[in-house]
Amino acid sequence: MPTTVFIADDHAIIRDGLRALLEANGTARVVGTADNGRRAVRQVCTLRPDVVVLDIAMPELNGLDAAEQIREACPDTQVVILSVHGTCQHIARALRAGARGYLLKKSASTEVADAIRAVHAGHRYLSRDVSEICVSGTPDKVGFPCP
Amino acid sequence: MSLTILLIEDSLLLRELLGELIEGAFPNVCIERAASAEEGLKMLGNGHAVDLVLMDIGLPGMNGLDATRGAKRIAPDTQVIMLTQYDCKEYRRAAEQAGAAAYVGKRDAARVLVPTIESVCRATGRQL
Repeated sequence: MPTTVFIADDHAIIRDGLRALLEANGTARVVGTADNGRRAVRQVCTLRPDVVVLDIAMPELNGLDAAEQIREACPDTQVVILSVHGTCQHIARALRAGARGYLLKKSASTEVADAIRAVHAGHRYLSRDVSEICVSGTPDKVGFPCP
Repeated sequence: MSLTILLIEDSLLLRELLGELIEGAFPNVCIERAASAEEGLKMLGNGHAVDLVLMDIGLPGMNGLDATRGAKRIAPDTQVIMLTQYDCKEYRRAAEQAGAAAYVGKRDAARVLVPTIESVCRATGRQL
């Protein structure tokens, strides 16, 4: 049975495109999408998907706060963050909020599928560039200093 | 002869998804991809015949505005559609001044990009 997934991103191209790709390769059945964090929390709590893929920079409620609320209200739903933000602070904050996966939008869609499979199987998934940022503490191009 | 679109975008995921969107709407179009302005300009400089460039504005290294000016210098007939995270008046004006034919916010790309490509092609007599 395919993993049930919910996608929250304020870019329709990501929501629609990822849905099409994940369903076409049989990785997932996308049960819903949202364009802001507040709607994502509400719908995820109703639909209870296996995995929710969350952008960080969304209107109304950002993905990190949404992740925290989702983990609290629906602990069986695993959270994957998919964002352009690759700073130590964002990654650490996401992991503290209960996210099990973190990847950057520079990743390929196959990596998103890998992350969904991994977190659904109970593993943690950090993409290679995210792992490198965590290990080396290298600030990304935005230039945030690392702790 | 089919139209060639060069997609310059540093996010691999967005390159894939935008490519899918364009291929779905225009099956005969040939899509080239570059991950940076430098790579895209090199392709234009090497004589790749490109009708339309979809240019991300926030690229690492050379930004999309400078890359648009560069593209127009190398291939003046090539049309540029600027893609950006930030849909504001200042960026629109800057894109226009750099030589872009149109401007699309990424948030609306799924809805707006295909009609924008159609409109730029129509205005410049290109067949899709």
